[in-house]
Amino acid sequence: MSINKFVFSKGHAAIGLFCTMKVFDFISQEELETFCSDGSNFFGHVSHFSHPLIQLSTGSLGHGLPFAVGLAQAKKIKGEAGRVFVVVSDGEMNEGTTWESALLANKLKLNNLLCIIDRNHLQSLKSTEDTLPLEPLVDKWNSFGWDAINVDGHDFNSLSAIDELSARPRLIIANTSKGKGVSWMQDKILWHYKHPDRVELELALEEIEGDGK
Amino acid sequence: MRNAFAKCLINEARRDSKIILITGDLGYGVLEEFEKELPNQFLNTGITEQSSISFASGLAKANLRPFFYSIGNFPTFRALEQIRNDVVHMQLPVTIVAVGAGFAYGAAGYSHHLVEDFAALSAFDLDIYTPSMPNEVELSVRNILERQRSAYLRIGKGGELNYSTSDHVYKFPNEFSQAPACDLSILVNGPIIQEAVIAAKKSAELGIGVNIFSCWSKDQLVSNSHLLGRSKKIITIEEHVIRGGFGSLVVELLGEKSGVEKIGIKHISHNINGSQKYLRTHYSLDADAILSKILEKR
Repeated sequence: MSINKFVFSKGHAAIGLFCTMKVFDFISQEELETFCSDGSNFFGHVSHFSHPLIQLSTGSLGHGLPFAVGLAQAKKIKGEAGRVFVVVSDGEMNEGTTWESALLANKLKLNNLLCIIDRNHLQSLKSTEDTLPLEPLVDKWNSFGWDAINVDGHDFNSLSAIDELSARPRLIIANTSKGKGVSWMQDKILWHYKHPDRVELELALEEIEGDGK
Repeated sequence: MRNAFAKCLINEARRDSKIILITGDLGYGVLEEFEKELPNQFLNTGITEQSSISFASGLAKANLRPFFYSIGNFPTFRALEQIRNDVVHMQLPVTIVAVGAGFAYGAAGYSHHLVEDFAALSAFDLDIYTPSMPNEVELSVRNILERQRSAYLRIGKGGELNYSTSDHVYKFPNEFSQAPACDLSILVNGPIIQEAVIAAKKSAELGIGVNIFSCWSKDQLVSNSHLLGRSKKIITIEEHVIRGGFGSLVVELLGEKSGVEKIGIKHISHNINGSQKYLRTHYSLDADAILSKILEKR
């Protein structure tokens, strides 16, 4: 078992997490295919019953970061090595607990904590900036005593920033686009809710695979 | 009770470095000794009750034993979803300690009255401890530490007394077998016991004996409720709303036909303010009201 801990706070993106876990063989194809079936442990929001690596069941926003702060502080108390990683949504920047946690992680000097914001600029009804403006986000986090940077969330090379350490709690704002690579899905709120049908799926895959060639 | 809690926890924490006391910026004059002696096991997370509960869950997930200490509704209602999702659903041994049971902070106003917590938290799969006396706080803390369960500890503010069997007070179920045969049993959970003790004394002077059973642990009450079937008449007393409260739980355990008489808050009077004594009288929870009920019920 890894000495690092991972918390996925944006529980609504569970399917993305499960697919990633399948790619890295933490779960099987058979398990993945039970997704949203009766009796499965792989449901619409992240559940800690899915796999021991999943530290926290999530789905209500603003829970993962404070929990991760607790995990990171536990490592400090116990003198344990390793880091705590937590992925949060930019919508979670609306939650008071996010900023409470920002204060607490700074107080506790949790240099073993890394928070990644999936900065896709969209929330349930409109863009983040049309809902509850967040910018300048990197300045906000730096002013809270964190070491914050902006990266291109679709560029794996820029995500190597994850490995860099700091004396302060670290924050990576991973700028992303929902539906990236599929022209008619990209940045469209509809696809926060809608499942592609068989034809749409094939069209989407064609576009993504076409880009890859 | 606050002091009994602090004293007991510091004794346990000296032996067990996994015990971490977190305060939501409260506990002036109560927690200083703990902080001074065990600074590495103490943390003030500021006025962040919601995050503090999730934070405590993170500590518990890493095998520590956090106690989150605050006043009244702040660690309970303010953080109810955090308790539900991050403590109870995660089945983590976090203990939430709420000071100020009932109207202990009477004059501070409604924001500080802890009178609906038992009802709200009873919906969850979590152990609830409602000690009536300082020595039951110790009993509760030891019980919490023995069990690896999510827990809620509801305590008074200060000035509570320890009563014994000579006051006709019996811890339930620990001292149940010591109680003499008696037609009328009073079940109580919390510092409101002091009113019951006064009422029972007056009642005894009138030749009417009653036993007072202090139900310090909801779990113990539930698992031993069959013992209560022996009592012919039962009155429950709580400094809490009746709906969803302790009395309602007793009725649920013994059945609608058990004839249990519930003393508690029927409706909150939002326009009434006052001291604990004043509010207990206003809501007919004081010794005189209890005595009237005893005389009526006998």
